[in-house]
Amino acid sequence: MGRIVDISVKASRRALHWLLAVAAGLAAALLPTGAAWAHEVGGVGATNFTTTLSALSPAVSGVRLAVVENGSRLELRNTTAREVVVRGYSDEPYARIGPDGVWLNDSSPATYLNTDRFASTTVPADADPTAAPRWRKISDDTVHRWHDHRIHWMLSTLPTAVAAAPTTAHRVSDWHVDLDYGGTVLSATGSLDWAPGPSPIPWYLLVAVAALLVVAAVFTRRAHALLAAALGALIAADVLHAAGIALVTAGNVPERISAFLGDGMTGLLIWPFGLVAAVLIAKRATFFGFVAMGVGGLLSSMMALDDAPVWWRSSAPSALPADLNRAGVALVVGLGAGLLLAGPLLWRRFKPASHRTTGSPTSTAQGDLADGDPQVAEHLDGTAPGPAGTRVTGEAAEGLAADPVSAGSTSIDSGIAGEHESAPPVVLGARAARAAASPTLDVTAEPEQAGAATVGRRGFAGTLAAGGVGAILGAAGGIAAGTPGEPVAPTGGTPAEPLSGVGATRIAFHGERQAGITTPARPQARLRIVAFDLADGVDRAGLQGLLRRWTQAAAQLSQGLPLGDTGDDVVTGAGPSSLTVTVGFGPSLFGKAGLPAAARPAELTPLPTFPGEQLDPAHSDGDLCLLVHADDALVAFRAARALTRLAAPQARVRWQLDGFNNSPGVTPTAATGRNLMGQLDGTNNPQPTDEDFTAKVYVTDPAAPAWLRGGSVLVVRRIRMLLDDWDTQPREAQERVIGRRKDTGAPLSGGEERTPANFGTTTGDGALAIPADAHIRLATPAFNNGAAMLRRGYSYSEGDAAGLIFLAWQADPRRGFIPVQQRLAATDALNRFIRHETSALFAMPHGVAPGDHLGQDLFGDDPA
Amino acid sequence: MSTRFTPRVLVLPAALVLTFALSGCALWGLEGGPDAEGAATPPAAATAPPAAAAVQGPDGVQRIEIIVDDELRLTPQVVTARPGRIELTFRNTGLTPHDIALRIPAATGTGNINGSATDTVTVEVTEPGTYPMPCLYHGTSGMRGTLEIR
Ligand code: HEM
Ligand SMILES: [Cu+2]
Repeated sequence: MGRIVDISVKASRRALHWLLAVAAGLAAALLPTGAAWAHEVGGVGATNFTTTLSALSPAVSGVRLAVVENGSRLELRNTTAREVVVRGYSDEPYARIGPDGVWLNDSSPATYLNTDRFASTTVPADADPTAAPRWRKISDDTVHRWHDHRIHWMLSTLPTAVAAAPTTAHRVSDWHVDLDYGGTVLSATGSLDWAPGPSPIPWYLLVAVAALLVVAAVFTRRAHALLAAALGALIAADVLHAAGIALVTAGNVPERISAFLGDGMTGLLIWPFGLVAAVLIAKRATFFGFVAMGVGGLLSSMMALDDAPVWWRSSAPSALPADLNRAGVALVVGLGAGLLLAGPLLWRRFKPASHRTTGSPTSTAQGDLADGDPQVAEHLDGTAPGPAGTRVTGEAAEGLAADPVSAGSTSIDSGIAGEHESAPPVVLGARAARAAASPTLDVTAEPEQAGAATVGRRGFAGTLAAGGVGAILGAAGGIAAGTPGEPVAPTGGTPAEPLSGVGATRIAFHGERQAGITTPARPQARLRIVAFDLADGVDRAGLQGLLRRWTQAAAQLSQGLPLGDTGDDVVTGAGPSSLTVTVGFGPSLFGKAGLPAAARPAELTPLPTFPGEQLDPAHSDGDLCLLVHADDALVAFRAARALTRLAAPQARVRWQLDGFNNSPGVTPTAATGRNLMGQLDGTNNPQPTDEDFTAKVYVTDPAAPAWLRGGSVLVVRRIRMLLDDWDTQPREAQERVIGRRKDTGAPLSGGEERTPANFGTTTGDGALAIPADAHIRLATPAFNNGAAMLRRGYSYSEGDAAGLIFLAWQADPRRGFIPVQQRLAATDALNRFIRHETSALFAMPHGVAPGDHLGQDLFGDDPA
Repeated sequence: MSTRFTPRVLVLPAALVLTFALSGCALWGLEGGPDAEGAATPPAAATAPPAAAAVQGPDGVQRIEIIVDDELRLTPQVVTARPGRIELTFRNTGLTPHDIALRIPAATGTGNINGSATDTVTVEVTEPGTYPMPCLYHGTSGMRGTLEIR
């Protein structure tokens, strides 16, 4: 034992100078960073602001959006084969993330604004969101992180409502960010909340208790071991804290390792020193108490300055549970402060005799470092008699009266032997008192016993050191391997309930094609169609003005934005609910508003009269059409009404229809919907995965006018179902009318819903399984020269009447609805149970880019 | 020798803690200490949004200048006008860029306005109502003006 001590004392002498120099240098180096919030991640430290991502809908597996760095940045990971485009502040493409890496659009102001947490920058003049994108590759990764200012608080003062009542929870704002993914808009919605933090008092107490226990430990028999343990625990807590931060630091391994080690590699310098010191202290190298003091003071003050707010704020950038993080900070501050005092006190209690008298650096009295200090033992012995309780009180009072810091430093400075007799040890609390008093009983124990105790301590110190090193390595490994950027779970407070996916879902308004035709994939639950006639004398400019108003309002409504009219309140608190607005032109528009009759495209040739039909002309046709879909009846109504009001005075309502389908969540999302006859309706529609789907549904003919290319032609038929007659039929008869089973939708030729119908299959008695007059036999493209259409019908009910609002989309009705309906009208078995009541035909122009209006190129180049 | 270093090492962190403790709650940043004690609160002016009316010129156009700044405010925050042509001039007196959207049918916003830049937009409003004018960059942070047509 003596040898070890000898070596360590010599080493300590030599090491002391540079140790202290390094510690002082570190402190100086860290001063400015400490003041500048060293423990921030992405520019955010502990905060009561909570950014929550409530939904990214529709969800796409492989596309992951997360709020990272406590709301400072958004992170998008895309591991799919298609790229995701993040939209900027004006809905322009800002970033592209995909298999091809990450690209930024230099024409998007977001490219410049999103590099900085507070957007303090200048956007170059050529960054015009309406200009063509100028893509620039920034990385090969499939992940991008950016400061999206839509998700966090940007101001250097609190929100007014929060400032007025900072201790209550507030919903500061709702936010949304759109992503484009192969034609679908993935809509991210979330909120920014103020969640007040907890009371810091328990943590203050933990700090005080930890500090006092460390100081008290000096006056126990196991002072060295306990101090070594405290130093080890301090470092472990600091490592844990740093690991918590590094784990939420988004970035690559070096970035996260540097977050782990702190600014200027503090961790790398201080932790090993601390651990070495802990081991040496455990080996009774009293001298290293000063290193414990330095390390403790440094870590404690840095932690207090940087991280104290975690005690009273609701969230912090850390992967640790909030209370564990708070406890870790409290332990570092408390243990560190305790060691700051305990180091010198340890020296004062155990300093070698030579130091007491001469301070000569060469004197190495072996006895100095022997177990126990007779003088202290005597002192404690002296107080031993009498009831423990009274002794504690007396000593505590004395200890508190004397300033332990100044007492400690004075004693060391002056080097007066026996100084401690005039400054009794600080003992607070009965347990500490007992611990302090107990050594008096066995201080005279045999040397073997003391030696055994030393061996024990040495083992303990080794474990401690190994444990500390292990903790550092383990944490570093975890950081290198772990996944960063899990959204920080909001804690505390009770933010308002986020809207479910149904209400929060937004369908893009802008794009190559109008929404509401093939997007969203599952037709919304509600439909309102309004057909308009132009007012007499409306000119080109009037019509164009109307379309401009509709475009602007539809863009706002479909994104869930208010219009600023009194109708806004109908949807206050409601989400956009997949609202789409689709605008179309009837054949009768051509010849009005300065549009030549000859400009009517061939696709818009009025429908012929079909055999046996008796239509209600007042509720048919129309110059203009508004097709409003949403997953909510109020949202659809509000939008239709607002747009109807905006049509005045150029257009007035001719007729309108309300339709319904199953609400989302009622049936599986991909399930075929049912009509009021109980059939699965839509099974054999053209599928988006079909090669010719686009050509069937959208106008791709280069001969078509520009405004129509990318558009689609809609046939609307209100078809009444004679349900009283229908419901008298037995199920088998009903199934033969269509040619499919009612329950599964399987063709009568056998199989499942999606099994292709075999029109040649016969039953046992030789009859056709799918009868000759069955609806699907007559309607199927194979028997109609390939004529096809996309049917997205809705049910309606009006008093006693009920039926189908038949909506069919196609590139050209002459190769879609018209030939099919001609056959059906002649021989369809279904005709006994239905009656076509109204009819209309509209051409929907192609979609609209931001800044343009629907049907803009209908008016040619001449300014209206 | 070592003993001479000791007080300095001891004093250094103590002085550090003291300095920052004395510098008060500003130490804890915009959100302040416990219970937002000493937090940065918005100036009183922002608490009561002032409204100002656009002034009609001889040509019948109503005009008003709106200051946008680094406090993420529009001053006046509420602009009142009568139906008709309104010319809105946005003057950015700060360094942070803004982009004011006009939630008015058929109107487009200002586009990016850099620090010290100015942008003028003219809108035609026929319907009385309250039309939001949020900043596209700072809307979430409460930078939202309104145009009231009455
Ligand atoms: C109330 C009136 C109608 C009802 C209840 C009805 C019902 C059905 C049902 C249950 C199917 C089978 C499932 C499917 O593939 O979707 C079907 C198929 C079809 N219907 Fe109708 N339908 C009606 C009117 C029409 C009209 C007016 C047309 C067009 C002129 C039409 C065209 C088609 C076509 C093209 C198919 C797909 C045939 C195939 O390829 O299998 N339907 N209809
Ligand atoms: Cu702004």
